[in-house]
Amino acid sequence: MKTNQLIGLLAQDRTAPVSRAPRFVGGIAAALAVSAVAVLAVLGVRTDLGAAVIDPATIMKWLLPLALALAAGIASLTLSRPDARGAPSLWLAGAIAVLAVGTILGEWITTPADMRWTEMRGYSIPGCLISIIAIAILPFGVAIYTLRAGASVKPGLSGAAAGLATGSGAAVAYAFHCNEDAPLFYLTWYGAAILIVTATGWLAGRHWLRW
Amino acid sequence: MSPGNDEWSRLMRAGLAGDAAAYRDLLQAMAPVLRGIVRARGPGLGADEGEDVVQDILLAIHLKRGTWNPGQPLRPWVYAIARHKLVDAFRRRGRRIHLPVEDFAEVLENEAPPDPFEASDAARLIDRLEPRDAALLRCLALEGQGSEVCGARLNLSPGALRVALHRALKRLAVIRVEDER
Repeated sequence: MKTNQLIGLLAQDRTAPVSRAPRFVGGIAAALAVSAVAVLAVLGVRTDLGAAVIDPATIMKWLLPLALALAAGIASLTLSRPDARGAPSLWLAGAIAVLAVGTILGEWITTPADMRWTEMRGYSIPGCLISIIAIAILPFGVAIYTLRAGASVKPGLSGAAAGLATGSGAAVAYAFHCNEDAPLFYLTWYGAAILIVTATGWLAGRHWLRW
Repeated sequence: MSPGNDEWSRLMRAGLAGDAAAYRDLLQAMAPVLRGIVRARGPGLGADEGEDVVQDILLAIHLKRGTWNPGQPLRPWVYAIARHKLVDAFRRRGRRIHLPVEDFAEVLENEAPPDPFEASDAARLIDRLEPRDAALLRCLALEGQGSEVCGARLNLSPGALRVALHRALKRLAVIRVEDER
């Protein structure tokens, strides 16, 4: 095929490009809502929810992952343009992660030695990891699928940002059920679940976001 | 002049608004520029391979044009895509197993083509699509028939032809990317 013939073909293709941002944001939000409702319907919502969402000590369980989800979601969209020069909101996500790790260390140091493992272990590690990952699966799939219409020159990073966004979103949803409020517990295990989804996103991006 | 007010940006905006003639003009104006970029940045690529990359870039520009921000000038966006495709071409080249005998035969046969860039990729590209997609692209591109003739021949309504053409172009791009794995 000559280049001129290809140009002729391209000019005949009238299918308008899809607008990514509304599909990305709307798709993830809808998928997250469906997954969250399904999982919370099985697990139930914590009985003291009303008190927990206004208590500064526990509200971080929602605010931290929510901020991560927003920053990483914006980063995925920014990176989906080929001429993107980095994604500033990724630095914000990084700062939140550093804050979380710093808090874990701080809590570890200030907690009496014989209480550390007890606090970190809690009583629901498997449920926490499995639930967050389970809630994340559907929105994660939607995120990767809609990002395929984009053109990231860093597919792995784009996928990781999508994983970070949807994993964090799933953690926000799971916090409606989880009543383990020790920062050593939730920062560690929410963080671990989010990291697993993020790493999966990196692999998925390298595979599916190439173009 | 506000950013994005140059000729290319103007033509792309018109193209996105449905002006097929402006869009074709744009792609035709881009092709020699892209050829120059590929020649300058990829001197190790032969003329055939270089033109393959030019076609890759044009295909990507077309399929990914929704990722251009119309408030920005078009050129940096085009160059970003060109760079990405050139990098991929070199990656692909590093992994490819060369079959020099066949390559030579093709080069000799095509020694004096009317278009120096008429590569052998009609076989490489279109034939790897599903038969119906291949027939459609061959009719529209190689035979240069209009969409009415091709639609009648392949029994496709105008709407179905439109969808089929877009899908075939997307698959063409996917085949190229899969080559790199």
